[in-house]
This record gives sequence, C-alpha cells and structure tokens, in this order.
Amino acid sequence: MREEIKLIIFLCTGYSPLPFFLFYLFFAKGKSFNEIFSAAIMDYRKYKEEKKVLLRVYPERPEKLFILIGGRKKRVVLQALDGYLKMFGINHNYQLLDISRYEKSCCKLASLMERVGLKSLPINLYKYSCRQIYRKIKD
Amino acid sequence: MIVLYHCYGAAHSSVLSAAIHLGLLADDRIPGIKEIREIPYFDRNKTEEIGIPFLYGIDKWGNKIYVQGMGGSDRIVINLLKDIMALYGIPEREILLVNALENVNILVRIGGFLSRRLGLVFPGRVISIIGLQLAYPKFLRTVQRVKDYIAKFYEM
Repeated sequence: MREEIKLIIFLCTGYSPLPFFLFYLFFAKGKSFNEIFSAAIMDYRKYKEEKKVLLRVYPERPEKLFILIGGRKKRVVLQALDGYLKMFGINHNYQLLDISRYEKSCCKLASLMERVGLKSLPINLYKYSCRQIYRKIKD
Repeated sequence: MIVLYHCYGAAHSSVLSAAIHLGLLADDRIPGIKEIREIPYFDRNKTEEIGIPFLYGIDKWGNKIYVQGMGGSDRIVINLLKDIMALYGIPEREILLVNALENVNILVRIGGFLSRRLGLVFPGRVISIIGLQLAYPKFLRTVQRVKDYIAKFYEM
C-alpha cells in the first residue's frame, strides 16, 4: 500500500476564482469581502497556467488542499478518482467539498467571457457572484 | 504494467478489446454472436457505473488489464489520471491507455444506444455485436499493437 495522504478536495465544474474565494472565506476568518476577493483573484491568476484537473493549492498549509475541476459529469470524474486511487493501491482518505452548487450562471458567464478574451467584465461578474455568496454565508 | 482499455460506457468496445487481449476470443477468425455475447461484462455496465475502472483480468505476462467507460469526459478523466500519477510519483510508463472507441462503427454506436440508453437490450445487443464483428480486424490490430508495445517495454 502506498502512503496515505489526507486531502481536502474542492470539487467544481470549471476553473474560476470561486474555490479560492471559498477557501479564504472558510479558512481566513475576520477579513472583509474586498480583502478576500482580492486575495482570491491573485491566487486564481497564479494557478491559472497550471491547467490541471486535480490542482494542488497552498502547499504551505498543513492540510493538503486540492481543487478538482470535474466538468459537468461530476459522478464520472469522482468515480474515476476513487477507481484510480484503488487501482494504484493508494489508501486514500479525503474530504470532498462540493462547491459546484455555488457556481451560478454569473460565474459560468464570466468564465465564457474570459475564454473569448474579455478582461474586466468577467472579473466584475465573478465579484458579483462572490458577493452574493458572501452575503448568504454571513447572514 | 496496467493496460486500460477505455470507451464511452465500458459495455462493448473496451470489453471486447480486453477479452481479445486475454485470449477469451479468437485472434485468427471472427467470433460468432454467441461467443461475443458471452464474454464477461459484455453489455452489462450500467450508466451509473460509468467512470469506474475495473479489473478485467491479468494477462499471461502479469499485466493488469482494466476496462473503463469515460462517459465522453475522456480529456478530463485522462488528465485526472495523469495528475494523480504525478502527485504520487507513479511513472507514466506504468500505465498504457488504449482508446477502444476508435475502432467502433455506426452499428456499435446504435446498438449501444438502444441497449444501454433506451433499455432495448435484445435488439441493441444484436446490432452492436454485428457491428463489432464487422470491425473485429481493427480490434485485433489494436490489441496486437498493445502486445508489441508491452513486449518492447519489457525488453528495455
């Protein structure tokens, strides 16, 4: 058996600032919305070029944090993840946080706009989407 | 080494390829309908099982032969596999991915759709088997290329 690694996996359908925003919201309490969103955008840009499906983030943290960009067919990807870990004899122990329910249409529209080359409008849409989440969680 | 034959639903083309690899089907003639129908897991995988790689058997050289349906999310699932291997330090040469879907024809697709999606198992199965019989030489060539690759791999 290979070494057991405890993982926390944020599951989302597409790459966006959202998992980073939620990470700061849950793990960096006491900060304002603007502070959290700015930090999230910086990290989103930092990791953007890695283009991985299972992306390791914040390696300096004691918890092993990952973002799993599963696309629309989450069940297929999750079953593949479990199957591959079993195939290689890896005794996995991970906590899955499904954040895809926070990916509203604003977020998806922003992602689409980025892909066609727009810059500031997608960021504003992400900000709007994150602000909705921030308000809901704080309330 | 692990050999992973993959297709859409792990019901037809990947299962057939794995069966050929393991010698469950003839490699010198086209098998009959009954022979294909009776290979393990043929047209059995359910939609909710798509994504799960499962061990089909072990070949005579000790390689593990897996079968997996990727549900049309091939790019994501294959990249996930590569990311996992990189994360755990598993060399890429330990696994060989074979896309069995490249060998299917329209009959196999129609038969698969009828059987797995619409639940019309009997006609779907028959149509897909006829399609597989027509494409059988292609499957044989693919499996032979896999075996040649494995032989070269062990020579190195």
